Amino acid sequence: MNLKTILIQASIRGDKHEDIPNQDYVDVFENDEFLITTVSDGLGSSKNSLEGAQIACKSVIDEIQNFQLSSELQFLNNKIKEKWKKEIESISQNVSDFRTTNSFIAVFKNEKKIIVGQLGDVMVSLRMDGLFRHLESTSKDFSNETVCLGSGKDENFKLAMFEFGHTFDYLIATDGIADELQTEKIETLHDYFKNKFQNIEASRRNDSLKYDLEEFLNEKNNDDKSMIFIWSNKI
Amino acid sequence: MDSLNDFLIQKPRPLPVIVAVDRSGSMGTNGKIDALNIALKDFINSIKDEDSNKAEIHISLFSFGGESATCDIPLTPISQVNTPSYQAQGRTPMGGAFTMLKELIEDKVQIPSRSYKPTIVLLTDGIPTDDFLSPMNDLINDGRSSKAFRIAMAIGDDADYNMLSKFVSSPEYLVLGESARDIRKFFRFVTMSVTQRMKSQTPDVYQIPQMIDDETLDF
Repeated sequence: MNLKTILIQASIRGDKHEDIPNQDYVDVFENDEFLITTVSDGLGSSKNSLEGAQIACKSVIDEIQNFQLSSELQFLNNKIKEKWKKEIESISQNVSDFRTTNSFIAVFKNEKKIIVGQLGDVMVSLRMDGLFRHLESTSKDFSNETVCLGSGKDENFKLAMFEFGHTFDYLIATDGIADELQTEKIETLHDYFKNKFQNIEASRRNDSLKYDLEEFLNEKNNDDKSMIFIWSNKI
Repeated sequence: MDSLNDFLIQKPRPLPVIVAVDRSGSMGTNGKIDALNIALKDFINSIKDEDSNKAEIHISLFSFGGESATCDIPLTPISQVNTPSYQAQGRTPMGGAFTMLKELIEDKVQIPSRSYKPTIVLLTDGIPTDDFLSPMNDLINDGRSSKAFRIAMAIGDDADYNMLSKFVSSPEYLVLGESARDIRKFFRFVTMSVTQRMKSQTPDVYQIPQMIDDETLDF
């Protein structure tokens, strides 16, 4: 299918101790069948969480390509978790050193379907054919709390499938961004991103987004901050 | 909307500090209630001076004495807090205070999930005179309130050390005081603890400051 999309993405390190790198990870995969976008937030308290975050994104991309839409979504949950755990165990015995959250949106282009997955507090907001949804992840008690891969508990992805007709746009953002957003303005934020970035030369969009995150968010929040925003042209 | 900033919450994340103090009759002896009033005022004024874009201290003050516990200051940004002055009288209805603390912390309207974990500060010189066990267990073991940092001061030999040692998050957070003078030391310790959290890059990773030496107190 000739699905044209525009994607902006940025990932910046939070204002934290010098020896801790940015532990967020963003990954995008696209071919004729799929557009898969995924964001992981490695837990600051786990020493190899960046690696855990990378492997989570890779596991999502690999397993979605093998997933049959006729299957139960729960099957996808199991496959992603199993793959992540297997990859981690092949490099270390201490799975908890790799703890990470992950959210993803996978567009099945030919079927015009979208699967959303969330494990932890990486936020997702999605608008299809004008209908907006802010998909809350598992509710947390206080900031910097989240469920995650590698916690030792059997946490599951919260999964949902949607169908779109003509257009979609969506945002995936780690809690370093999401915790600072006014919830009631998130749909308008989608419009803001579209209006702003469609007028910026393609090669400069991500740098411009990165500048915005550094300018407006780093003084409010120490966390790493990563996001992807995508919008499609009308099909 | 002109910039990303227009979509952001403009207030720093709340860092709730919930103080519960004993105003029972026994606090009227040996200058304890006067020391408490001074210490509370100093505490509030000290942390009012702290400023951060990333955290804003919100204070709530409860007391227990007479026949019941009361909420004397609902959760309020520190800049707007006026400290009450207590008079000692009556019994020690600490269980009632535990129930009120739990209700506050479980309330996501008053303490949104964007907040840092609350700190609970408890000060008492006596044994609870109401049913405290079940409210205390609910507060420290169940739900959202179980995640709060809990520190306490026991003043004098009549305080219930056994109960307080179960109340605090870990044994180092129970401070034993002998006299009114120690109340002010304790609140200096609380001030340091709160400001340390506020300045920290990881406010929810708790670090215990050292208790202050007598020499540093200015009476």
